[in-house]
Amino acid sequence: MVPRAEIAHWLAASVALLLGLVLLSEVIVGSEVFRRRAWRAYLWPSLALVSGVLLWVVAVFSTFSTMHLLAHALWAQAAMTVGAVQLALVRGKLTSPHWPLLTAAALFLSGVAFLVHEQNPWLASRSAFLHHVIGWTIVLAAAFPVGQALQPRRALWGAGFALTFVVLAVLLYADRDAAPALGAALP
Amino acid sequence: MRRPLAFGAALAALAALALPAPAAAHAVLERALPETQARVGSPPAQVVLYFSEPVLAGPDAVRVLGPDGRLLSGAALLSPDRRVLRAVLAPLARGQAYTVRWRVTGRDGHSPAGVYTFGVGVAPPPPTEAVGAQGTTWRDHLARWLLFAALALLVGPLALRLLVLRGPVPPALEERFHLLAIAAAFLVIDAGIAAFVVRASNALQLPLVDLLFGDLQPFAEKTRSGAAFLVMTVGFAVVAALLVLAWVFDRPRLRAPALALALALASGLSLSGHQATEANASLLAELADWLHLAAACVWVGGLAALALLVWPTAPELRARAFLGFSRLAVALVAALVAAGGYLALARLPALAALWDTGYGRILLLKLALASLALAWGAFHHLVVRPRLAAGEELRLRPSLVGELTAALAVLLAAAVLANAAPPPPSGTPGALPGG
Amino acid sequence: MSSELAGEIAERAARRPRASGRGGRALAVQVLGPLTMLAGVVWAFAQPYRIVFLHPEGKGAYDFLVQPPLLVVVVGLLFSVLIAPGLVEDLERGDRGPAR
Repeated sequence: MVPRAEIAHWLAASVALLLGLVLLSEVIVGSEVFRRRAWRAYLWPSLALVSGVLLWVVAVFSTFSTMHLLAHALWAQAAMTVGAVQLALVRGKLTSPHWPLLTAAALFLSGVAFLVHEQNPWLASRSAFLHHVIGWTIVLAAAFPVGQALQPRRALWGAGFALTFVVLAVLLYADRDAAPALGAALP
Repeated sequence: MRRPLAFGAALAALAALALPAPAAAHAVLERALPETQARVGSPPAQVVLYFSEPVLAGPDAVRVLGPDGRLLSGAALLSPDRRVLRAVLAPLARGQAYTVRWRVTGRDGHSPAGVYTFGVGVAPPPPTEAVGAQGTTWRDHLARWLLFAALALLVGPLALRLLVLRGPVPPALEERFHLLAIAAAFLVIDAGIAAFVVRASNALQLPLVDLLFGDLQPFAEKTRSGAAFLVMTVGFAVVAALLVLAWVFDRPRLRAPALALALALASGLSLSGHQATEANASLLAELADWLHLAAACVWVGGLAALALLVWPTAPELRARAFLGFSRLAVALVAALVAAGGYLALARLPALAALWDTGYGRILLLKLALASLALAWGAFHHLVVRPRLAAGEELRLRPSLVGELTAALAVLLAAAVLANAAPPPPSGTPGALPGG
Repeated sequence: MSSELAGEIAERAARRPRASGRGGRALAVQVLGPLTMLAGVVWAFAQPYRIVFLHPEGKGAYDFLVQPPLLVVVVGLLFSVLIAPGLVEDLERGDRGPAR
């Protein structure tokens, strides 16, 4: 009944890819044009909120180790919190320009959770390699929302944030439950 | 010169990621024979554990224990591919349950471990009652109390807003109602996870670092409390999402289904507690327990909302909120007392059990604390309410906080009671004489 | 007459870089979806064993529902159909509006 982990990871990759495309298109056309239609403004925060709820489903089926349960719970909560805050920002419920710092904190903690719960070294397996790469990608990507909070007009930060999800999608798609770190070249 | 090299290296790494071949992830127990929490017809000759990864295992990696704690398994043997672990068993008796404790070492040096039970011709006990499991500790009580308190903070203010303070309220107060509800929903989920992990840790009996790699699947998937945990965690995530939408889009109507769902999900605690799993369990007892819990949470949470939200934020609404909540509290207390009285009669085989058993003594303490809280509430209802209705200005916040503190102490006693084992019903061995 | 014509030509010239800028952005948004779909198709050819329809033996329901290269195509399609057209329309509406 419960699918293999890689199935869930590939689905998550698809959501991340869609999220990345949506964010990238906002950077390309500019927020003013992007938010001309209200549903577009709410799109990515809604995706984050719904993804968070679905991540709780994944979390409760990750009880094969306490560490996995806690890590997925953290990601679920981070996604829901970011989604809620972003929805409120779009709606005007929250107005401080510093709220993107919460997104940065959520990314940072999520990345740390990836790194902490993967106890194998980088090249031990495909899964280990991806945990390390994804973890560091998300940790470093926390800089983009910080940049957005400090320099909201610079497109670089928005582009970096968007591309983070595209990269995340590629990495998650590369997940195979049975694969070495870098193809057949290494033991 | 460097950039093309770096670019090329990145491309090569990406390309290599694309190539398939066999290898590994985290080592987990994929399958066991006998299966975890299984009832088998005939005594098995061996226990076999199948892992997702090659592991390292010493001779005592698998231990099968009888109900008396006697070791019934021989040395554990690994298959050549190191993914299958077997232990031959001494002849097992029918009509008994057995505990399997396993612990291996993964390639990363950490030690996944687990515990489960199986029965030969009988239903096995849950893994929390496996041989070697520790009883409940202060951590269980704290986690359960946090869960009760979070539930109260979620349903109480929602009920106050929907049933007492109907209609528009000042924006600042409305905002606080929203944010408290959202925070409380997340707190319920986190407290639920903490309670679940603490409960499993009592059975696993592992050091903290190894507990992080403990196998919680038998607890999650093969017990009532595990099933309740799964449903409640996802359910309260939906509640949190509803409350977020209610806040962001100014849709107060979404709070009613959120409250209804939260109260319904609280039944998970009743459906997995003593009144559902003990020998004299009944649907009526489960219903009474749920009613008792729901009424208590609405009462405690409503008090909290009065003292911490309404009083400081909307002075003009104090009288209306207090008078309305006072009326609601009558119904809540009636439900509390009626359901609680029924449960006490159902749980205790005799009056003497109140002071002759540990469960009874905890219940006595809870009754004493509840009496204090109810007396305080009665003072508010009988003395303060008429004066407030007459238009008198009263400094009530310290008194409300006092009643709230007493009520929270009752919740703590309730948490300890929920974790305690009730005395066996009359007529069973070890029961107190009926009377 | 000639000054009006000169003014009109100057206005058109001033508007042209802005229009081509918006045109560039519209093009970029329009190709995001097809590029994504193309990436999925290329991946399907590069790793045909990922397409369960071609190798259905021993595969379960989840394997049929979740085939990564096809998922990439679906995501690109969703973006192209649901999001890109509205964005381009809004960009062009801004293009036809008064010069700022």
